[in-house]
Amino acid sequence: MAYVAVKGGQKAIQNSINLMEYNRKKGSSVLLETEQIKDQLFFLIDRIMCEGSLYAPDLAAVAIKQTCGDILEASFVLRAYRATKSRVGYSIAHKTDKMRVIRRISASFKEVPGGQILGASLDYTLRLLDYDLVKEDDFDREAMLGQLFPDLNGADYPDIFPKIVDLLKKEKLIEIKPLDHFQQEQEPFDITRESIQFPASRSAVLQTMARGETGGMLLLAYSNMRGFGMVHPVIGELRVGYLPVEIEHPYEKSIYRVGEIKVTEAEIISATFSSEPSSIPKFSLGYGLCFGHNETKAISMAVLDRAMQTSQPKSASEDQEFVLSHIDGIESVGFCNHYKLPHYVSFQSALDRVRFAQDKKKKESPE
Amino acid sequence: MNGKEWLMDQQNNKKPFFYNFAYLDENTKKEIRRKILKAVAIPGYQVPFASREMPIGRGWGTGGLQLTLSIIGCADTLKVIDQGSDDSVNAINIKKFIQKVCDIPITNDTKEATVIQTRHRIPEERLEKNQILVFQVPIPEILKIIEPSDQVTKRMHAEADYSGIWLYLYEDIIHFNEISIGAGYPVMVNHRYIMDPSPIPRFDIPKMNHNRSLLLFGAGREKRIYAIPPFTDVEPIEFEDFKFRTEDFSGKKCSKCNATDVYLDEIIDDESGARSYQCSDTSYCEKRCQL
Amino acid sequence: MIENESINQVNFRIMLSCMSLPSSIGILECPFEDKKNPFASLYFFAQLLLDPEVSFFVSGESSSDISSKIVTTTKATISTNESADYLFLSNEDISVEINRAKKGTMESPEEGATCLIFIKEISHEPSSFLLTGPGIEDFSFFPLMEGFNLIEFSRTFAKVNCEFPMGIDFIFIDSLRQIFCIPRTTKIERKVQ
Repeated sequence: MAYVAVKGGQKAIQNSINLMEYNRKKGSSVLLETEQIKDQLFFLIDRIMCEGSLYAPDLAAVAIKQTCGDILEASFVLRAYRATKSRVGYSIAHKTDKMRVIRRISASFKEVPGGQILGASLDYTLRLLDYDLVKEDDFDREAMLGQLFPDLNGADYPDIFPKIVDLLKKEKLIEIKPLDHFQQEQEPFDITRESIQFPASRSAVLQTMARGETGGMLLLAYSNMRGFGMVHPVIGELRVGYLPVEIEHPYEKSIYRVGEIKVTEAEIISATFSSEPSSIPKFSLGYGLCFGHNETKAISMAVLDRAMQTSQPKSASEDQEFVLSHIDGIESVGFCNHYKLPHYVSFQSALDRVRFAQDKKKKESPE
Repeated sequence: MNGKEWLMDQQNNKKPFFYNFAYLDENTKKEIRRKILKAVAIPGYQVPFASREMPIGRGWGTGGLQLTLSIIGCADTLKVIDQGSDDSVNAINIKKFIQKVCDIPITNDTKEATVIQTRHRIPEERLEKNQILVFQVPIPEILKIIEPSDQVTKRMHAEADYSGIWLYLYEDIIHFNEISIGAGYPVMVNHRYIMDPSPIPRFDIPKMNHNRSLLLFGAGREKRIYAIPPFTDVEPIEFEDFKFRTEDFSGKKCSKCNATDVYLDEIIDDESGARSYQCSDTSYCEKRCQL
Repeated sequence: MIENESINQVNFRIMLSCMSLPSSIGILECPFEDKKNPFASLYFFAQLLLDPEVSFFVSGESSSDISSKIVTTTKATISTNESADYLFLSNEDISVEINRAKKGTMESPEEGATCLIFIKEISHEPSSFLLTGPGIEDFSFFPLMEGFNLIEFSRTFAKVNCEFPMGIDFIFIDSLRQIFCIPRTTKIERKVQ
């Protein structure tokens, strides 16, 4: 059945859209509220905001509902929405040592100044399917919340946690200068205003990865960890917390805080010696930062950041052009799925070639 | 309605998220317009541009769409085709979107349109000086068939180092006595740049040479714009002793309008296994049928 | 604002038509008559294409007034002759200015500048300079422009555009809002009788 009906293509499309809506609404369960998605599926919200490159939890919830949970489609909807917004200004750049931390761990040392703060994480849960969740109700919820907080007293919790890599930098164990083949930048490159050219500057690399698709980046980082590369990472510090968003008043020049964003930050130490030709061997760093709580992505990003700084790339994860051209989820999903569009005109042309070539072959050696 | 009326209408209907006329904001349009002008000044050269995400998927025509939306206005009439048909899924979706974001008359008639957005075909009817043909391009870099890295292909274009692609064609001829490239055949533009004409059939390539209309090419995902001004030399690359050949439809004609000098779609009649042919350009076929 | 955007679209199409068909002369549209300001067409051009992502340079007298007005309306950045993306030149010393403007690189020829030359009037009379190249059906003639030294211009044009694809593209604008475009692909030759 052709899907280029001479008349009726329009009707077929509308029916397809109606059928999607029908599938979403036909069940006997209560319709999802976006507030529920936001409150209870927060890792999903964080992932959509990260890959959609727009920090907007309410809108991410709508996108998830609209696309019935298709992560790549939901990120796409959010990213397309982002593209309609005009740039009104720039926030002030901040160092992340002032982050309001809710989770902070280091694998490099057993004890660190400020302490290992586990925070909320799935890491320590057992991966046993919890069938009790099928019938959970508000009574259980009230009971659990009631039990949790009365035991707490005002424990010692520092406002600021020193950066572990800063301590290593002080001891001169870590390479501080960016490696030679990255240009020194005055202003960050903006990948949404100019198309990236290779070799790309570090800010362009980090921006592209910050919105990159988690699965794709994990694949490339994993390949490096398994030996298709030489990063050999150790987590210097992994943080999840809130960073302030501050802007400067255009005339008064005073600073205004307009909100805060949750981010995950990973600083990995590459235990291979830095390839800078200096006499003193040092470790080098890889850096990852993304919207929301997404540790897999932040770690992968940090590993890839370090991998791409290699002066002689040998594997895919070290090849800057390869990594940056293939990690954007919106682009890769779009192109992969575009193959479903009609291609019969070019296929006809290909058929013509192969038939002609076969005819020639037959004429050369008739059987 | 004009741009001002459009905005008033959006505000009056109290839509929470309303869009600029033709969806793109003015700064996005400006960047694309600047790049279009440079593309026209350097025929066949791929100009990088920022490329916004659009509400249709990457790979589904976002480049062509950004070009159309940056140039289109109230005085225009728009035609959108995919595989030569006005009614294909892709063409319909794009028209739906464009009509949602600006109130422009849509036509199926090639002669009536001032802007034609196309996926993989050039219309059969001759285009004129006041018309613009916008091509949707999936992969703008023709040299990708020999070299995957953009960094390397950029240098090749800079140095007009096209030996690799000539070698590719030569090797095809040696192995198969036939060039394997079907649609999207490489062309030399203005005797300087080898260019990907988008996956149009070879049948359409001769139409590009000294075309009377402006040809604009947009690749949204790859973020490139290129152009061929009217009256420009465009030649398919070929050897002296192995000439360029278009698709062979000898002995075949359209089962609806009997045309023989057009690009035909092969239709398989699955009951009897028989083959019939129809015009790929459906609006041209309809016109002929009405005569 | 919306009025500006509609005008920008109309004017862009006129400009695109002239750049792709270098033998034609177009007239930019204007929403109001500004008889006191001879540079009105120049501002239309600026508003049409300039924004914070590009830089420009203005030469000649009143350059600082013109520059600040362009910055206010477009937020484009003022730059030197050598690095500006767009140059606004009046009739004096244009060869010097054009020779210093950037031509792009072989890898990125689109970085070559666009020179906007403001002259008194583009006539519809043909000069003796023949134009051929992409966008021109067979051949055409460079229009006569009062007070403009075509001989010197054609020499400068050939010089800055001799290493195609690097080069500079030109747009002539007059006080009647007429425009005439010459992209770097055009050949300008003195017709010998």
